[in-house]
Parts: sequence; structure tokens; C-alpha cells
Amino acid sequence: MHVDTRNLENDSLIEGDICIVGAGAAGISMALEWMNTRYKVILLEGGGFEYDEQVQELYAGKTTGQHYFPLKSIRLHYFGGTTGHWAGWCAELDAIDFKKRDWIPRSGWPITLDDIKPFYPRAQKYVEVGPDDFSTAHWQEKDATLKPFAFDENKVWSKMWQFSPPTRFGTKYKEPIVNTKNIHLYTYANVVDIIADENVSRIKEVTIKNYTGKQHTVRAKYFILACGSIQNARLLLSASRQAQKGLGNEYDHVGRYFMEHLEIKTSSLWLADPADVKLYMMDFGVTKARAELAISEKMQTKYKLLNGTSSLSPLEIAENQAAFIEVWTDQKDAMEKSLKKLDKTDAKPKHLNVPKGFKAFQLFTRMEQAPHPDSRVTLDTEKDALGMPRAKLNWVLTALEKNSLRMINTIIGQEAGRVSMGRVKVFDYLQDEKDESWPSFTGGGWHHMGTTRMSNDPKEGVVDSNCKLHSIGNLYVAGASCYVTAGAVNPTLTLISLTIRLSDHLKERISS
Amino acid sequence: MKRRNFIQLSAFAVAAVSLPLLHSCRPSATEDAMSQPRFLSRLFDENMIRDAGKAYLQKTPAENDDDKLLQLLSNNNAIANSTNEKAIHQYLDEKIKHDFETGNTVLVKGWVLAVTEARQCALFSLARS
Repeated sequence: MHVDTRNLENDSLIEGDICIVGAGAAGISMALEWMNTRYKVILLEGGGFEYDEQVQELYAGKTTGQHYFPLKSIRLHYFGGTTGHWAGWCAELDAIDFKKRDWIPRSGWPITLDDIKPFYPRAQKYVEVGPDDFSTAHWQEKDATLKPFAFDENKVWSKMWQFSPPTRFGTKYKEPIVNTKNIHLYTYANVVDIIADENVSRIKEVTIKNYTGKQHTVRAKYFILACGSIQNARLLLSASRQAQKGLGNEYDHVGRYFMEHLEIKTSSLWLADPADVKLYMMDFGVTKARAELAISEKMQTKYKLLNGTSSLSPLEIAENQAAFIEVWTDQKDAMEKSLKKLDKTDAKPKHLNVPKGFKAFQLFTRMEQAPHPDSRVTLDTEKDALGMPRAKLNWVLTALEKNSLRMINTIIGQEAGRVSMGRVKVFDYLQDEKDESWPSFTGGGWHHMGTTRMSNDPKEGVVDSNCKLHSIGNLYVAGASCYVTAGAVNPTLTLISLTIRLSDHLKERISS
Repeated sequence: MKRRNFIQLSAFAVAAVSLPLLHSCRPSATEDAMSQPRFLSRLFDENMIRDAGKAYLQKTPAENDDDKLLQLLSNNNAIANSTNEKAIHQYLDEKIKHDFETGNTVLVKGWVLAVTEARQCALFSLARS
């Protein structure tokens, strides 16, 4: 069922069992999990079904610290959310990602990979990848020409990725959501306030607003924030009428520990002879799975590194590609053009372009950053058109990130040298160990994580291991904002898995 | 980047490298072989090897001496007195592999090099400076 709240009578009351705020990857996955149950599910989306500049503008905000993309253009504010420009890269986190690592302050999740593992296959269905086998052996069985480099897997191993078509949640799941009786999708429903009971221990209702000036109230037994890391923090911080520092912010953690994946060119690999690189190559929309060079847990521990993987691209091609952060803008025309371009890319002819004869490759490293309290989302004094304080992002990187990038590429270079395959040349900006500056092409993957981090101890985080706010009995958070550390790989598959896990927990709770 | 292979044991290269090393009491063939990073010469041209050698010596000035470098390359092994080029190359190839395996590498102008091959470059640069 779908209701456009612009057409509702002003000050309407909407009631249900659970209320999901946000219809992106997390929110829609959650709704799909509740389809055809006996519970009335309210799914709130701030935008409509199409890109709307007026709605998108609500995401604009300032950035400080390390140069970052415009906040307005790195997320999409419509049904389907940021999956509208998602590249579809899926991989699972590693066991080390959940562990307490002495060299990474504030690392260590209250759950382990084993707690997430059972939910990966269910998440894979939603993003149309699978089977749930990320071993190189499995993909070699399908295609014997996929050959991993002869590296020592105790040092550098080939981590497999699978590629979603990519699934555009807004397109793929519109009909199922709209046609399911117990799912009530409300579009143009921007949450502008969250109201708790007298003790601020339970959420009573949320206020939604849209551009027509209409305002409505939504009541439910349980509320789930699923708006992405920046917006989740923004909503909690701005709900300050009953809690001065914002909801769930008793220990000043909401908005802090914002994390991105560093995605940056780091080195070149020069081979003595052309090698078989098909396993490591990727053609967007064609390749189903490919590998990246990953650093083993043993080596991460030995050298005190953040987790990261490096991909290969023919150097001649890679050198002519500008970094996203140098060209990405939030101009209206550019945003619409890029969305149209994505649609065309989805429909391009399918052929796999495996380079032959190349002897030089660029290594492009994607790596987690350490959670840092000053890397954070706060509220600006400026307000958006609906009266909400705008988000302000301060992105912080440290020497640990730079050292890890250098060592990851050095270790790959050591393995390439050991097997007499070639030599690695680390790029200039990584060569001086004392230089903590970052080059202009330093960017992230538009992966926003960590602003409502998970912890067992309420003093150490915002949500518990079930993603429920420590201090509020019926308010949950779905998505990557619950991440404690980021892992090497893109967050989408894991955030959906975590959401499904939360969904199971809620079903148990609501039925008891 | 120039990528022609230059060393491949050509008579010219051998002669060019040998001459400045004649003062040493070691057999010149040993020194010739010691100053030829075989694998690297498939990727680097002569100038790049010399530049890498100079850069390595800037990083490690204590090794700025051909006798010292030869000593470090041979590890006081009997290979230092061998005239068998093949055996010397084999010895150094193993040493380079061991360097990479144990992380005994150095960043030279950004290149992740085995310390052994960096020393070979250094020896070459001293011979050709």
C-alpha cells in the first residue's frame, strides 16, 4: 500500500506496529522481511519514487577536516535511497574486522563474524548475488581460467567479490512493497522530530513533514531508523527537546566515529612478463565475481595495519581516470546527468574485456579507517526548508591510515618480488613515513559508517548488539551507522545482513 | 618510462661495470655479477638502476663503499671468491627471494626492493658514477 503524504489531510495520525524510517537498502530490506506478516508496518520515505531536487536539497550540509564530497550528492533521497547510484560491489567482512585490535583504538565489536554469517545468504538474495561462496576455488570451478597469483596466502590472499547487477531497490522492490497489504509506504514523509515518553525511555511518535507544509504524526510500538549514517545521527541529535544532547546521546557518542573507506590509487605493479590477470579484472555490468589482493590477518597483526584490499587496473587506462573526489559535484544538472548515465551503464552490451599483454597495473586500495571521535557528524546552525538543522561532517584521517596504505602495498610488493613476478612502486605521497598529508585525490567510497556505534557498555556506544539504543526501549537503528569498525569491503551486503538479523530479533520480541 | 632491458650480460655492460672495480682484490667477474640485479634489469634501464643505487646510498650512507657493499652482498660467504657467474647469480637470486620472504626490503624511489638488489644497484651506481 502506498500513500503520498502530500495528499493526506494535514495533521493526520498514522499508526502501526513497527515504523521504519527511511526506504533505502536497510529500510526496504527490513520491510521485505515483514511482508505478509500479521503486523502493520509503516515505511517512511522522505522523497518520492523519482529524483526530486527539492527533496535532495534537504541532504545538503557542510564538511570540514579532510576534504570530502558534497553531502548533498553522495546519498540519494528517494525510494530506494542510495542504491540508485550504487555500484553493486558485495563482499563479506573478515573475522578480524570484529576483533579488538590493540593497534586500532576503539576497535572490537560486541558480536563476531559468526553472528552475521547466517544472514549473508538472505542478504545476497535481496542484492541478487550468490551463491554464498566467496572462495576462489568455487569461482575457479565455474571458470578454470580464473587463476590466483602464486602468493603465500598467509600473507596476501585473493579476496573474492561478487557484483550485484546492481540491484536498484527503488525499481526492483517498488511493486512488491506497494502491493503488500501489511506494508504501508508513505512517501514525502520526512521525519523532523522524534518524541519520547516522559522518562525518555520509549519513543511515542515521530513527526513527519513535507514541502506542502503538511505535518503528520506516526505512532508505533517499535521504531527503526534506517536513513544512513549521516541522517541517523542528524535525527537523533536534533531530537533535543526532551534530551538536551539528543536522543541516545547520554555519553556523547551520537555522530562520532564517522568512518569511510579510503579508496585511492596507491602504487603500480610492474611485471616482467604478462601474467594471467583475469581473476582480478572487472567490467562493470559483466563480471559476476573477481578478486582483490587482501592482506592476511597474520600480517595485519604483525605490522599493526588497518584492513584493506587492492585491485588491479591496467596502468595505461587507470592513469587517464580522474579520482571521483576531484570531479564529483552537487550541481543539479550534474547529479541528474550522472543518474541517467548510470541507467545507460546498466543497459550496456555485455562483454568481458580482459586486457591481454599488459605488464603494468595500477593498484587501487580500498581500506577501512580507524574509528576516531573527532571524525563526526554534528548539527549546523543553518536549517533546511523543513526546519531541521543541517548536518555538518568533520572527516578525520590519521597517520595510521597512511602507514597502513604504505604497508599494504609494500607487502604486496614483497610477495610479487618473492615469486619473481614483478616489482611494486609505491606512489609518491606514500613514500615519506613522516609525511602525514593527503593528496588532492584522496577520496572515499561514499560508504558512511559508525555514527551510532554498537557496544555492550552504554558508555562506549549508542546501540547494543541488537542495534537497539541503549537508553530507549523501542528505538532501533538499521544500517552501517552501527558499525564499530569498517572492515575492508563495501558495507552494503553486511548492513543488509545486520538489518535482517535485527528484523529476526524484533519479530521475536514483538511476538513475545 | 624506458623499459628496454639493458644488462643481459652483454659484453659491453660487463666491461663497463668491471673497470672501476679493478682495484679490488676480488676476481672482477665476481664484482661484475654482484652489481647486476638480474630480475630488476628486466624492468629498469641502466639509468634507473643507477638512480636507484644512488637513492639507496643516500638512505644508507654507511654503505657508500664498494668493498662494504660487496661484503654485505656476499655475507662473507665463499661466493665472494667465486668466479662462477652462474653460482653467484643463483646465490643472489636466493638471497633476494629470502629478503622478500622475510620482509627485508627497502623503499627506493618508491620501489619495493629487496635490500640485496638495492645494494646491487648501489654497487652499480658506484661503478658507473
